[in-house]
Amino acid sequence: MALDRSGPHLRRKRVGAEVEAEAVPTGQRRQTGARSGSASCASRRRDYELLFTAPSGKTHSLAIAGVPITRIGNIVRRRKILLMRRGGTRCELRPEGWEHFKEVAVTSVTTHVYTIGGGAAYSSAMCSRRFTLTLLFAGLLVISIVSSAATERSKTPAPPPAPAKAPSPAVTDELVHKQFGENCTLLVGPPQFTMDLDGDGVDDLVVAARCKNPMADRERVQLSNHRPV
Amino acid sequence: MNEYSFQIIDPYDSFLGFGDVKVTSSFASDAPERRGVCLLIIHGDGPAAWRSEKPKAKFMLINLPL
Repeated sequence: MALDRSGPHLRRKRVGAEVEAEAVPTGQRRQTGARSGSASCASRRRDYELLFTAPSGKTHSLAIAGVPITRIGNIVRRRKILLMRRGGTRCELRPEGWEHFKEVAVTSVTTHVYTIGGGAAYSSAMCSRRFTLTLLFAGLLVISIVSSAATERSKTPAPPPAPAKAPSPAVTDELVHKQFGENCTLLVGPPQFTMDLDGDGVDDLVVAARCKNPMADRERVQLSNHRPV
Repeated sequence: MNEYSFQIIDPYDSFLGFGDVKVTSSFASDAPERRGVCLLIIHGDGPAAWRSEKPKAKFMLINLPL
């Protein structure tokens, strides 16, 4: 967190802070970037460190999980953040750095970054967002309707091919077991139909079933017919 | 012919050159819902037609690419 951005948190607590400019860690940019102890160093830098407070009388370790801890100042009753420089000069630290979500930024045709507190731009952005969400919801609704219709269609058995007709009463597992054995079970869903397939003037039956190991009976018959020499 | 007197036919694999039903009946579909699915055909006989106790012929068509 940039030091200047800690203001709102301190204001909520109705306190301020005195920050010792020289104590603020500046990382590797010390040689190339902002001067240590400068206001820009406290507000424009992107070296993020976690800020926390602790009672002044309490002793604590110099590092937590290997991360060094640096004391950079004190919390005071005056509701300002003051940057204390060497020699006793001080200046008030005001928010200067990048404020996230301050401006509406368009990153692509369909993706937006929105602001909180941007007036008309915010309303416009929210309208766009609502429109996108509505469109997305409508798309999902259409997909779910189409898929449910497809499911319903797959559940409805297809009519038997003409001039075939459905057997009445419908074929049951009892007939299938009787004619094809216990390994076969009637398949629920596909149509059953009767028609004269071989042209002998007698109706024939076609049904779909699920059969396990259809050759099992054949093997058994062959073994039973086998006579040792 | 087995004890239930039906004939097993594998028209799809026969067309592809696999003639032995004893072998092709052991083929299993990749899709679990298709495994073991077959068509049962009963050729009717007499006035009872396909409901006859002893139909004229019975066929089981296996390994259908349905």
